[in-house]
This record gives sequence, C-alpha cells and structure tokens, in this order.
Amino acid sequence: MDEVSYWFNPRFLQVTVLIDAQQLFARNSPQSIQLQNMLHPARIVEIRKELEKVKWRENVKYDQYQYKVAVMPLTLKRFFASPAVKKMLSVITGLQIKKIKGEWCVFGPGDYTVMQDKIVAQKGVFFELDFTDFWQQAWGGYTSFVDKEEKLRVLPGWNQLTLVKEAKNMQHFVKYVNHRAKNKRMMVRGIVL
Amino acid sequence: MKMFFYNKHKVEKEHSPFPHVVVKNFLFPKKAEAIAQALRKEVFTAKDSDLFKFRQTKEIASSKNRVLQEFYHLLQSAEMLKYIEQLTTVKGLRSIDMSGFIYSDTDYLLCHDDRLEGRKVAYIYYLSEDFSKQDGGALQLFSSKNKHPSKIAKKILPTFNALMVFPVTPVSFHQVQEIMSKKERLTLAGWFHG
Repeated sequence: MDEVSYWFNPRFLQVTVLIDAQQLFARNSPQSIQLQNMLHPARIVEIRKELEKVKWRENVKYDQYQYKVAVMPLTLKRFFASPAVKKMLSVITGLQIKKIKGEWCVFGPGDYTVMQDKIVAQKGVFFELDFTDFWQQAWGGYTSFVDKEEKLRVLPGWNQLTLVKEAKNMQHFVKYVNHRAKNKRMMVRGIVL
Repeated sequence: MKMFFYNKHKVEKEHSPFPHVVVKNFLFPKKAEAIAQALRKEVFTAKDSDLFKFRQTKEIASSKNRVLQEFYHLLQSAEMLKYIEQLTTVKGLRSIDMSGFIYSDTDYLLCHDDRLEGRKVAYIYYLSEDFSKQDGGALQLFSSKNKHPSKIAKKILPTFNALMVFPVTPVSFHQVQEIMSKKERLTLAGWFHG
C-alpha cells in the first residue's frame, strides 16, 4: 500500500495546504517548514506498538556527541523508502528527492551534540521527525541552527516533521539535555537527498 | 609572594589521565574568603552555546575591585609564573587571562581540550563551598585514544581554596559536570600564555 493517503494525515492531501507549505518553505530563511501531526493516525498506532520493542544502544564520541540509537521501527523504515512520500516531500521542498537517510535516536538527560570547527558543506535538506509527547524548552534538547548566531530553533514535538535547508556556513546542534528533563526526545534525524 | 602561600598548602602532582596539579589550601583562608566575597560582587553575564551554559565576568584585568586586582597581579607576577613553570614543567609562561565563573543548577561545560593559540597552562581557582558527589560540578578528566577522548577517568570535586593547573595538550580533554543542586560553583579561571 503506497499512497500519500496511506502515509499522511488527510490534511496534507488538500492542495491549498500543500501550496502553503511549499511557499512557506521557500520564503523562510533558512528555507524550512514544520509539519505538525504529519503521519496518518493509523500509522501512529503501528509505530507506538513498535516502540515497545526498541532496544537502545549508546552512541558516543565525547567531543562531538552523546545519545542513543536503535534499529528504525519498521513502519518508519517503510515510510522513508516510499516513492509516494518522496514525491510529497519533493513538492513541498521544490527539490527532486531520490533518497532519505535517517537515524532513529533518543536524547535523554546528559545527551547532546556539539558543532565542529570544520563546517562540512551540507548537501540536501536536513530533517527531524519527532516523536516526543511533552517537552519544556528549559530542559534543553532542542535543535539550534547557527550561522554566527542562532537563526532557527526546533523544539521537540509529537508526530512533527521539520525540514531545514541549511545555508552555506550553517551548522546545527542538539542542546545538552539537563538533569531536570522529565522526558526523552525521540526522533529520526537525517538528510533528504 | 611567599606571604600569600598558606603554610598548610599541599601540592598533589598527578599524571593520569594526563598531567595535572592540585594545590590544596592555596592561600590563607581569610584571603581566599575576601577574594570570594569580592568576586560575588562582580557583574556576571549569562553565556549559552552548544558547548556550555554558565555565567562569566569580564576580564578581571578590567575590574575596579582592589582585592581581585591584587589576586590578578599575584598570579601573573614573575615569581608565580616561575612557580607554575616548576609545577608543570611548561616553560616560557609570560602572561595570564582571568575571568570569574558561576555555574548554577543545570549549568555545564562539555568535553573539550582548551587548545587555542598561546594557551599553555589552564588554571582553576575554586572559591565556592565544598561540593559533594550529588551536587555535580566536578571537573572531569578524560583518558584518550588516538587523540580523541575515550572515557571519564578522574573526577575532581570543587574544594574551597584549591588551585588546579594542567598543561594544555592535544589530550587534555576535560569537562565541568552539570550542576544538579542549589549550590553555586564559583571560580576564577583562565590560562597562562607563552
């Protein structure tokens, strides 16, 4: 079953919504868009079941990052491989999307990523598909996009897709999650190429 | 300069995971208290980035406070530079920079090696009440593998009136553990340049 109506919340099947998203993405600086309640409710039910079986393992290079990763839940694996999904994201971003590469990860207290001295030119569009049901900014854990100063901040959310086409000298990081955090940020982060 | 040294001061030279020296009871307790009190009156500005979150003063060199100025001049005196050279075996120290830092609940400084042009020896002078394990705020030193930090090998809790110094090298990876209580970690810190 591979249709847009299978994967996306019915809201995103409306042409007006798609055109708005497309225009917003193009107009924002950096080019970006956030789609709330993106996945179809039935897919969310499937994902919740799959989340019960996730086994996290440590992913750490202290001077670069610390967080946990796991094998991508099957529904999300199929989502990213779907031609219909690639077509939809192509419409929104105005790019010819061929591939979506993502990492299923979780950030809890003590976890972070930091920027590097050397900026590697970013190909494609960076994305975060968040599955965090509640969060407070004071806990850290948000993604900050920086070019000399912060240009964009993405807070964790539930069933939320954020796409960001990073400008030339832009970098991003996931802010250190402090001990006050009462939840963990779960998401797929990756690149749309 | 010798009159500043507390006669009960104790020097601990360690080599693991990288060379560092802790001088406990560095100054006379009353002098240390006066410095702490003076520092608390300074203006601290919030600093927040990917790597850290804390509050910091301007360079102490520009402070109008007599007590802090005295400490600044002590640390960059010819005698002190010689003393630090002896302690660390790093030669050619010529000048210092110095700022005050306050770390409060949820503040931190992530793993880094301090390497920047001219920085030869790092120092931290602890001016807050003693911290226990549950408070966080420990200076954590990393062991390294292939010039990258591999794991936390040593934890040094803030102890009032202790001076910590270590040579800046490609393997001097360290971090300040997040503060997890209402205690405030107050320090004067910076680098000896050469």
